[in-house]
Amino acid sequence: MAPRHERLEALAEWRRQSTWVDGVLLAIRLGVAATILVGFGGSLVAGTYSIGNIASFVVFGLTIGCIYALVALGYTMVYGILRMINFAHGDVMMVGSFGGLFAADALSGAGVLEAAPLLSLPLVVAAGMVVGAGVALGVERIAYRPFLHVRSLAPLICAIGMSFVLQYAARGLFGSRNRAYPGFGWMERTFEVGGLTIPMLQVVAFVAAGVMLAGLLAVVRLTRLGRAMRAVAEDRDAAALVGIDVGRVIVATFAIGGAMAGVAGVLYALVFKQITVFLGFSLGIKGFAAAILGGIGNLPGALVGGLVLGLAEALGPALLLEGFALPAPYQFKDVIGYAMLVMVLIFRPQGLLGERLADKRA
Amino acid sequence: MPDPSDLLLDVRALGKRFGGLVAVREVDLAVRRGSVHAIIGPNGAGKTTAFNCITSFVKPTSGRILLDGERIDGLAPHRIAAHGVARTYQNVRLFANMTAIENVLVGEHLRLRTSFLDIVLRNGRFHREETAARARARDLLDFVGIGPRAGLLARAMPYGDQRRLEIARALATRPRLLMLDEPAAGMNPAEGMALVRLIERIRDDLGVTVLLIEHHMRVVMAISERITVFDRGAVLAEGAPNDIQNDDRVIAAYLGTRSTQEAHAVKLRAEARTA
Amino acid sequence: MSSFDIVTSSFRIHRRRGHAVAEAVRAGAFAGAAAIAFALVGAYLIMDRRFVVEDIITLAQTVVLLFVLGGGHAAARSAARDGATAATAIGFGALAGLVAGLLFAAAILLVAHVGLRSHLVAASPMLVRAVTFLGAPGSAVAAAVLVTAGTAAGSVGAAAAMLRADRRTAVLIGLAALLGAGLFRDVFAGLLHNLPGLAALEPMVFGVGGVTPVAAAVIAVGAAGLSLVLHHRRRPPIAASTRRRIEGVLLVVLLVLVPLVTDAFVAQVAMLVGLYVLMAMGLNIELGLAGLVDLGFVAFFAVGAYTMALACSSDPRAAVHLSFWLALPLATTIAAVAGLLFGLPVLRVRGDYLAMATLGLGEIVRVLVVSDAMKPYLGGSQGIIEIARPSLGGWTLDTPLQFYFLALILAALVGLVSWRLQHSRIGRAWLAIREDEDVAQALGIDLVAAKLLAYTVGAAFAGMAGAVFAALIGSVYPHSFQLAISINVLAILVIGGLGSLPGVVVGSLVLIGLPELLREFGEFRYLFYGIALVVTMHLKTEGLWPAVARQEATDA
Repeated sequence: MAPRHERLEALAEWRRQSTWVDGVLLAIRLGVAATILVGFGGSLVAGTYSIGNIASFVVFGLTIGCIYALVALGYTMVYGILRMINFAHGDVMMVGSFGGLFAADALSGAGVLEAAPLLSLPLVVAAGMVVGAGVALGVERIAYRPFLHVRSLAPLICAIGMSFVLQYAARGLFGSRNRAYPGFGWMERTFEVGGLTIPMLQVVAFVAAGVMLAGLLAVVRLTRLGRAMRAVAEDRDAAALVGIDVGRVIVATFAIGGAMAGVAGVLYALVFKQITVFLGFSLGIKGFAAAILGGIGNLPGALVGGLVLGLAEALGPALLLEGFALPAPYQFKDVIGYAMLVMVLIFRPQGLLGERLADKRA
Repeated sequence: MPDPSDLLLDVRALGKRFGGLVAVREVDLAVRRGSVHAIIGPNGAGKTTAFNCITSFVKPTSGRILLDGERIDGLAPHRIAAHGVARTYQNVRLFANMTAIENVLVGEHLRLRTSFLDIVLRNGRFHREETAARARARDLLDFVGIGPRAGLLARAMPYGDQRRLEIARALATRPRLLMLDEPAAGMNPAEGMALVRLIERIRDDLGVTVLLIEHHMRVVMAISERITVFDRGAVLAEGAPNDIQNDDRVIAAYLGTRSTQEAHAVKLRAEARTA
Repeated sequence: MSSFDIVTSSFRIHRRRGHAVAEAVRAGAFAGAAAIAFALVGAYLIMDRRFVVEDIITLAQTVVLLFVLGGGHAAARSAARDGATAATAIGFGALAGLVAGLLFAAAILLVAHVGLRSHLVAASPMLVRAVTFLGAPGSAVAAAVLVTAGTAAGSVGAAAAMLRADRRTAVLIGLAALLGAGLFRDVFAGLLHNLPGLAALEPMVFGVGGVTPVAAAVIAVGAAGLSLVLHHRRRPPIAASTRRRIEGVLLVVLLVLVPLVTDAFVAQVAMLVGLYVLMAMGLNIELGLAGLVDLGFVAFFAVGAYTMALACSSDPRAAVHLSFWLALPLATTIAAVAGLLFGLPVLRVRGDYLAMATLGLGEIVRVLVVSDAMKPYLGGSQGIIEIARPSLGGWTLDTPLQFYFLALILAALVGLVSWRLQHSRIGRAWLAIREDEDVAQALGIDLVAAKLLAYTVGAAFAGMAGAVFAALIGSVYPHSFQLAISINVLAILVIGGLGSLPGVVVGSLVLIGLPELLREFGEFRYLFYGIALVVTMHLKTEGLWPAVARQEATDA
């Protein structure tokens, strides 16, 4: 049969099998594609930003992307093991960020921060990790462990509750005004490279994130615990049958995910300077978006998703929103992230790299 | 090859793969209108997958499925139900937190004619349709033999009654083809025979064609008019019960002859004595 | 995907029970830690201003004692389970109280003498003063008093645990009545003031901040006595359905009469409760009946509010100028359409993923509404103002009480529609989808139609609430439409009982009414919500007034 004939047949087959909902979904896909094209074209025509600007956006996007990736790791690991979303994960990051703040304040008070930032940084990060891990363990104990064998929406509701508790308890404890990390000595400078001005802290954050990510991947690939985690993610019952202590693996997963989130919180504070107790909400959603984008349950996917999201957010207003001639396009920065999340959930829930789970146990 | 116009269900070259695993391969199935047709075969042979393809629980990778001459492969499950195909499940999937009669009433959903407005206004039509639906549901529960238990929560019912309820619920959609997935699982011989009688009544009194997957050979031999044997995803043999029972390939793959069965039993008794 | 388990969760905390002493210490530690956490979160500072019993004990002090009481109670119960005698159990309770008291006193001393304020904003001298019973704040004397009080409270809690069940209930009821009278002083004082013949009682019962000592004793003893009497009377058998009907009637009476006889403040709170009831009935259709987790629900509320604003105000952006009674169905319809459009893309998304997708959609709507880009149409962050009040003939609705009754009538209407939908083929289809989506489809239920219907109806109800809200407040600002509202409504449903109409009312009363009436809540209401959600999920998954488990008579 001629190829054209086959294509017509395939089309007829699609029409036979589809419903009007499929048509609407197709229309949405086309609409989004058209919007992106129009925006992109318009931005190119407008030419508001130079290559130098774009390059600095890229650097920023990569940095924030790494932070998203760290948060996404927590989501993806917990989902891989429990098939549940940890709604309170963003707030774990927030608390970790505050933990780092207190460590930084203490070091600053002792004068160490100013004098030896390279030494202080790991300490502050460690503080964030410890706090993050601790809070995550609390969340596991209260919102997830009791519901391991009950298939319902109760853990989600519980996690939402925990999220509120964390946010507003933190507000009561720490106050609702913005806080800033003290100065990190020579790291506060910027440096010039190829005509670009890059804040050193961004580079530091990027490197630190990279180190953490590499470390985590090493743990998962090379250690016994990592193997156990992968086994439990694959098939919980089989793992139990071969002697893996599933409860301990779950606890370890939450702890590691929480530690990563804590690091993300500290790095976020370094890059953005200001933290508040309500930080967890939007960062949490974006971290989740990154996890889904890359493929939930998929560790390299978290990294990919984070970077893609970070770049999209950094470049989006310049390359896309500019083309629509909107007043104050920066207000829509978050919309890019949310829209990507919604699109992925609707059209490709397994993400870019695919779910590592064979099929969702619906 | 039977006359196509005699066939209610005509499955041609059905294939289904899950990634690299081929679950069903080039399967042909011809179910005559008004008959009882059984599918047998070892575990993992692809029987339930074939069922799932027919009801569109999964989409077939290749092949065609025709119901009374109309193609139904790949259609959305609720459209297939509207065409007149209903099924029960290997592990009973009732609505656990609803009562028996409510389960059956859900089955009536397709055939009820009340609109949104009728429901909000609670007009005459609503009351008429609801009363008729309840009466029909009660009749179906009586038909399958669990009439007195209409008000019981599904999860509170004994296993055998749950299976009957599932059948009643499927029948409520007024199907032309009723597909039963291992209906006799977990039943003792007496219950098995009661099931046979029920299936006979479904075929004769209700005029519904029955396609069933079953491992209980007694039940299969007692009720089926034709049998299709599956093995490793493909059709091994197809024919009347007696032919199947004596088919060498089927015996080798699945049944075993009386002599081999007896030999096996003797060996087991010997081992038990020396242990 | 996951069907919400409306049956009681089978979760029980399994702990290995250690030695009774260890258990007692553990209980005391928990109580102490909880008290400290509450202190540092700043709750006590607000609670300091309200007296439970005038001039004798404040709410803050009561809460401290309650924590320790609880610890002692738990310790004694644990000891009794291991076979200890009553006296020994009380001893263990005292031990728990001692531990709690020590911890708490130590923390307070720390706060008083070490400068933690830069990090923990509540660690101030006022906090220390709030929890001091006797002696100078921050002194060793005060600390000793705290420890002693703790031990005593622990013992009392333990003693209560040792009482016979009916007496224990009586004590609890007496205390609860006293606490309730003190907390809701304003409501009751208003009631006494407005009810004929009782006005003279008011100054005798209530002081400025709480209950007078004499009245306190009377209330506590009286309530306890009543509880004992009721416990021991011969109970005539009442069928479950009759009892439910009585409870329902009582609820309705409460809703209609109480706002009539109290002051404007209570009426305003009632109004807010009424609005949330309307909204929650909408989400009840989506989540309670059809099982769709919609966290972007506030968007429909916003659509209704903005439609009312654009149709009814004298703002230049207003497209038309309609009367309230025309704008209301318009807003409802447009919100319904929004629900349809919103639900379409996410039809095939399930479970947790649906929660996040709807969350994302809701947030996108919020950003759009507050953006400058939409300012010419929607007013940006300044919103739309000067919305007209509803009027009928020459008579305008302008008091909260009148709006409350409007909301009540609408809620009754919406409740009727909800109920009828639930008990029809649509309701059964929704329930089937919630239980097992795939089987429902195989039985011929068109998932698309059913889910879209749920979204549409749910959104319509929310839009109705939004329209009334806009007319009540007279203006709409995008900051009123945050995710927090969606979570509020979700919490109302969950805590009241998913799929249950009376549950919606109870949930709204508890989660909206309580925090509004008790100003102490202030910024802590969300903390309270979070704790309430977690506790409800652990103790009573099916909610406070659960949907009736469906048991129909065989001869219906």
